[in-house]
Amino acid sequence: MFWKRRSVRDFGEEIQSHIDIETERLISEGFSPAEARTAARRTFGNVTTSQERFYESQRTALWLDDLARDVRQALRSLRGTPTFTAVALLTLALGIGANAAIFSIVNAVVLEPLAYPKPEQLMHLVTQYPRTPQFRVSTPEYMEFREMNRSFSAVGAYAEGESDVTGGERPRRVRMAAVDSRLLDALGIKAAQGRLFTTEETEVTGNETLTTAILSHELWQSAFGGRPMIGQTVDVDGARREVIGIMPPGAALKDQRTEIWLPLGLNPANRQNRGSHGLFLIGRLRDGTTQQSAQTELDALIESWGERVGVTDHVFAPLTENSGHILSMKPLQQEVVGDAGRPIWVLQAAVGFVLLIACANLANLLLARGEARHQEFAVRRALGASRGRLLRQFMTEGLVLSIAGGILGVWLARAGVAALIAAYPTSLPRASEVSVNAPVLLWTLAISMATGVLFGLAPIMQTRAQRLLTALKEGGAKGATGAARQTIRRCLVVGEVALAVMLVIGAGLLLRTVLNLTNVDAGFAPSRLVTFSMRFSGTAYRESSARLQAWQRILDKIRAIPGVESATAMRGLPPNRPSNSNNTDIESYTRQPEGPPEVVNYDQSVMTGYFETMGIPIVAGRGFEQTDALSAGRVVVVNETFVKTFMSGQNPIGQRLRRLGWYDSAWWTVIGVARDVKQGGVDRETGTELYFLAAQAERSGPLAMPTTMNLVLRTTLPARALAQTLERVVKEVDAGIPIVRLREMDEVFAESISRPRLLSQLVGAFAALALLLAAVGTYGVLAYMVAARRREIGIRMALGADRLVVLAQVMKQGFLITSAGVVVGLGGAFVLTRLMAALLFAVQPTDAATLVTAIATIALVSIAACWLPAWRASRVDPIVMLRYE
Amino acid sequence: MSIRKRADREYAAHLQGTLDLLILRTLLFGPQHGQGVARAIQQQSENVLIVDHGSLYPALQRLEDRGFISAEWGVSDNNRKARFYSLTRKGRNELTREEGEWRRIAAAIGRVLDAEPRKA
Repeated sequence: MFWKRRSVRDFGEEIQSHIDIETERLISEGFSPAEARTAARRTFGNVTTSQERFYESQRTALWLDDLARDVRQALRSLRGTPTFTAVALLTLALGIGANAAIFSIVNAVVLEPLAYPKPEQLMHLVTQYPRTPQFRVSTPEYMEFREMNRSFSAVGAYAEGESDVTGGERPRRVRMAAVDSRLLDALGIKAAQGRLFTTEETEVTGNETLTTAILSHELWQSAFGGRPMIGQTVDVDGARREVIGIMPPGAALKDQRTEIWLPLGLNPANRQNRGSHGLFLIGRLRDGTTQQSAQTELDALIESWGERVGVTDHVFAPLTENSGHILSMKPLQQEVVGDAGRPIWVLQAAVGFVLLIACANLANLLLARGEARHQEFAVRRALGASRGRLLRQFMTEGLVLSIAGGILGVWLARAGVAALIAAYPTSLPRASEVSVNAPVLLWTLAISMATGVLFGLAPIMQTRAQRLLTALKEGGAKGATGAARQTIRRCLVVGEVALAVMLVIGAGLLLRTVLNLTNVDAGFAPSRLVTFSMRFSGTAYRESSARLQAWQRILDKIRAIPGVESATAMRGLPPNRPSNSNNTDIESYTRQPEGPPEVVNYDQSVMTGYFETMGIPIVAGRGFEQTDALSAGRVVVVNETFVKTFMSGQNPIGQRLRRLGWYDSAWWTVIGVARDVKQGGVDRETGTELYFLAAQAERSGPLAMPTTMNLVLRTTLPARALAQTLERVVKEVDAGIPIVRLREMDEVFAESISRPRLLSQLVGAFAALALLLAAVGTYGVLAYMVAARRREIGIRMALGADRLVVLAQVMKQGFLITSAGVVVGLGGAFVLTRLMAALLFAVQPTDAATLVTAIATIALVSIAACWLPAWRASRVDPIVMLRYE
Repeated sequence: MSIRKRADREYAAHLQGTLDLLILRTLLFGPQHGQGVARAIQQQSENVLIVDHGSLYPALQRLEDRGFISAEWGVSDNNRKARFYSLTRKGRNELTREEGEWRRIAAAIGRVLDAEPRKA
């Protein structure tokens, strides 16, 4: 009927004409014109009402008009109560801001697909052993899988590491990805300048050296100032390479912020060294192939791998508890996010709770405000405003508040996220992608609206209570409605306290976790240790012996620095380094079907003075001595777990072992047992470990001497004070070698537990916010109660009630609310903290000490919140109160 | 919703239907403006039915929206500009239907009111 819509003016004219006609008729009947007009108007009734009814019948057109009016009115009424508005806005900004910030992390890390074309097709493949869920793939295994599978349109391999790149005046250590051309095909990356590797450039047939490199956009900018580089050469690990391409900004392998891409150099014909695992694989599923069907194919391949490729030794076979090893596949996104998903969702839940508490508080505030505005509503209803109209206005007020709060919140979130990423750059996967972007803004808008509606509902509950009021009045119980309304407010506060209890318990458990992690005995004395990393990778150090000499020269110079007590170097830096398992033949150990396979988890090459410098006690036999470096007899030190696993009940000293797949099959004699040292993280079981003296290992093969080592100094000086001296000493040995990650060992520890620490700090902050809000809520409801009962309290005091009794009564009310909240919260925590169990370390979700501490905290805060209203109640002056009667 | 409220609402709908019927019937004699319609109903009912003008115009608007009547601006007997309503074909059908319905109900009510008390 839209085309027929009449204008309001047209309608007004019609009514005017009605009144005119009626007036004339009355005049013709003998009335005076003035009388006639008055009478005509009177009989017509209220022109405005009639007009309004017409107006309301034109519903659709009205909606926007009404909204604008409601918003104006809401703004006016909020401006009239600045304190309320400020408190509400601050609460909302914090609640919504925290949600927007955490959601921006959820969105970027967990929800947003990886930045490759059709990222859902990308799968990450690793090998899996009993007790080793993720290990590398060997070249023959990769080649066989590449040839046999039908599910993938491309499968490529990569290895990650670091390289020293000399471009400008200073060499720098960069993150390196060694890849084959198929990997780049699978990822679907295109070069921004130049080209990517061809298959010929990444595969070898013999010992040819590969001489190409691709720079990341970021390295091109920072190291080479963005000048034309295609066709230029750069010095990578002491070898000259031609830059053939530059990647687009942000292009990376997984989440590694890759800076330089080098050709992997695999020989496709190589079917030897099946046990030499050095690669990870990424495959792209063919269009239309699902992960499930690819998995089915993979399972079938593993079932009969040996028959298919015609080998019997070291071949994939289904996993049992103690045997077998398989190729295992999962979506690349899952590999990148890793186990960061759970803590992120915990954070999202925590901020959700905070927002709910904020809502409850605002609902209470609006209720209190509603009571103060009772008169206003009554008058407006009497003037003809419909109930629906009033409710809509409440909602508008709520929405105006929440959207304003949301805008402030977004601003807070932006600042918060930036600060967070700056403080913890490596604790989150995909951190560089985190930003307050369109999806985050949409989410924030959605939760703002939901929040506004949620606490805007409070007045509706109130009008319900008012209807109850009339019912109760008829029953003659005057004043009981106050109680009914109070019940709603109390329930809201009980809910707030319950949510706060859950958060505080969660935060308590996480704090305990960090505390436990900090107190883990890593097996060595980390204080007064300074460490840094170096690489001897250039052509001058191609020979193992040259590297050994270089390391020895450096160490001699460092040991001579005043303030340095001792110094040594090692391949992998505890307490957190990747496992470098090796198949080992232990002479005295015969493997039982149920016994562990002879795989040693960690393989450590050290320079002399290692155990002394690190402060690792030798519990049996002896450590390495200077003479061992020169002696022909090969010696090895094992750790306690190694003895427990493979030599229990025997004397380990003098036993022999040899490494399979090593350069030679010489036997190594155990000369000592070192105390267990954490290698794979302080929260992990200590693995089995072998210590070799680098000087001895050097003799067994060309790569036996590590190119990259971590140096450790026991010193009274801080890392900062040593920086310049170390720089000079290294320059004396080789000016082209950068010193990286120079820091104190304590810092290494702190970084190894930075994610749980970040999580506990954030949840702790949210719990504190929740506590504060719940305390404000408790205070508010009690303060209101005291205000409403002043008269009663005054009368009772006039009748002789003691001030202390009055005080105790108010405190009791607060106590009841708090304990109800604690009971509900404990119940909730019992259910929810189980979901956190995987994030906890050495503490049970039902840890009594944490629960007691949490409850005590809540009790203290609650007492503080109740005290002021209670004290005020006890100060009521009966004379003053009675005068009002 | 309470029973009382529902009854109220049905009663209102009933009265509204009656007003619609009266308006349509008045227009059967030819186009008329709002004041004329009200006056006619009042006169023909011998001052028993006094039309609430606040209901009249919304009712006219409603009938127009439903296509039972059409309206156009014209000039009244005494040269006043007025909006004249006339019955459409659809409105004529509606009138016949509604009138039949009303008579049926009125007769039924009449029979109930005339009934003799029954002996047990």
